[in-house]
Amino acid sequence: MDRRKLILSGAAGAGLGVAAYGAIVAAGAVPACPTEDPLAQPADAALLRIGARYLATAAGAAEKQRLSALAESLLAHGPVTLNAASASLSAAAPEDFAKGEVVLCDGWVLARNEARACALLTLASQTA
Amino acid sequence: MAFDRFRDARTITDGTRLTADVCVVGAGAAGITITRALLRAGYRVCLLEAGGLSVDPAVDALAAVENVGIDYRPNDARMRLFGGTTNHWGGHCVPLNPIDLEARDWIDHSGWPFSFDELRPYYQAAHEVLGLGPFDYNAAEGAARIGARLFDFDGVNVATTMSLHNRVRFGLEFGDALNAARNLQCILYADVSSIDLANAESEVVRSVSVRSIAGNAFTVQARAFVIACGGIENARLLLASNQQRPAGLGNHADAVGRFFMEHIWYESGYIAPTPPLATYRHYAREVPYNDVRARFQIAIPPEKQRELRISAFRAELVEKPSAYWETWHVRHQGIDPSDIGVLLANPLKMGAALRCREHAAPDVFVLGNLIEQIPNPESRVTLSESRDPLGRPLARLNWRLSRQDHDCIFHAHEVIASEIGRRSVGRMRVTMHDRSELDLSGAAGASHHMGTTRMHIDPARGVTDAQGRVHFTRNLYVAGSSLFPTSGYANPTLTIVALALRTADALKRQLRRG
Repeated sequence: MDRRKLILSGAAGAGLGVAAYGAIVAAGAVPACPTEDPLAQPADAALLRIGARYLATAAGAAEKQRLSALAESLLAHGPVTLNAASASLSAAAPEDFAKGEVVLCDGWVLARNEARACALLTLASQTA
Repeated sequence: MAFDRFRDARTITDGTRLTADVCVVGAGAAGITITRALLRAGYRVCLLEAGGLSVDPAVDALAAVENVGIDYRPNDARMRLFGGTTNHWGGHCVPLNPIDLEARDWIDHSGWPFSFDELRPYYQAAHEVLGLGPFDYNAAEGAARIGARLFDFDGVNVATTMSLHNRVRFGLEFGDALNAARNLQCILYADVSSIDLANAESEVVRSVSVRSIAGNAFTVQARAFVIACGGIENARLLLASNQQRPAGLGNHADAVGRFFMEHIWYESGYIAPTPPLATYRHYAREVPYNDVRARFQIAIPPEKQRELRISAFRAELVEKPSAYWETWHVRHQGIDPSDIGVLLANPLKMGAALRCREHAAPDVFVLGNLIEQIPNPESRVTLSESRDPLGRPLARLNWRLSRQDHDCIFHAHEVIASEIGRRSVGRMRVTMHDRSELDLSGAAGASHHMGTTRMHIDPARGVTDAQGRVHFTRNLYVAGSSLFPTSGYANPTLTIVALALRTADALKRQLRRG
């Protein structure tokens, strides 16, 4: 029996292995396809969507009322940004996560106040 | 150097009867490990390998599998040649955790017939076989050793695990020594067709009947036999050995072939990272570690598994474009009304994702989840009506997943997502749904075939005893991952080698007793 054959076979096997396991692992290593940088894309649509889901699924009537009022007061100072919306809320995301105050919106697991900030953006966009 | 002492079954005269102390069927990780242990103890071993030294389609055809369960190609990653599937494995080694061997009241049919402590010395010995260095899987210490910075997970809800990689090709690594061993007969192209008892009432296996693709047949007689052909073929061979026991050998409890398990690989959920990304990338690729390589994963610790009542969960990270995931429904199920908004929100980005698929520029880390499948008796290997070229029944595989498998990933993701947020290293999106129906479309196996000849001390609930000896036989052993009652998330080869060393010890004790 020829040991070299086994080595070649091992190499061929390794190739097969890469092919078989490739679908699992190697996908992340393939060269980038020429496209625009997704990170450069505006995130507004995603934030608005999260805000809409929060209002629809996680916010009660009183919460919606509070956020609507807050959105109106923010709008009085000009266009509402995520930073401005976040700053208007009393608690920060790390505190929410520490307390387990998390919500599931559009699949994202967020601090409740993050979702509320997105809801403010959503309400502001509907009001503006 | 040539393996000049290996024989070719195709040239053995029809009707020949060979003898040995132990006949080992299958020259993969398990079979070669047991063979080496027995040779060192001075026993005469006959090692039968169905394949040769290279891939041969004619040999592969003898082990074709009729798949009737979920979409799955069980033989894509299996190799029938000397060295078995180690000829192309990823070298991924990690031990089971102690909880994996426990009977867990939330997982039916869980519980190994011994504890982790029983396995520990064999894991240490397996480390030597696999050239892995010290038996140490402490992720924090391992990371410190190589200067890698890991996530500061709390270790209660989420933890980092470490695995080691060393791609030992058993045929290449040990072939020369086996070839030189005077007490070994290694026969290639020797496909065992049946295991034969001395008579129908006997518990003693007298011989195995061997065929080759040339059509000739011969037998091997021995004092003991070890079946180490892989998770599907082990079951097929026991079921097909039904001349004297109509249900097949070891099938007194209708357990042979049942409980087929895979490590379920399912890419789902992604993390939008907060830069810098260096820490993330430690979870996304192998890194040099001592003389081998290491990889880090995100896992749910044992106590959290108990609290959530889930099976073992581990995830590695895969850098991918988020838009590729956004378009999942469009690619797999047609446009759902809820997707229209997503597509319209950023048509250029979505268009690129559809066109380039996962080749688009990566911006998120997808979780490559690898979980322990819940043992399921309906997930099974049986004999097919179809025949192989030698006229023997093929294996018929019905791999089934369960709702508990789905829930394991979903609940693990909820916990991980909170921990990622709490650590302020990003935000995670859970892309599974907590709906009532099973939703694991796109799930694959890791080519780890397990459970089909499970160990159990009670013959009514298993195929073999705690040593791997088939119940109601005195001298027939099984080796390999088909013995696993449950699988944990650990890639199986390290445990296969450890168990093989343990079975070799049991065999030696039996042979010494005479």
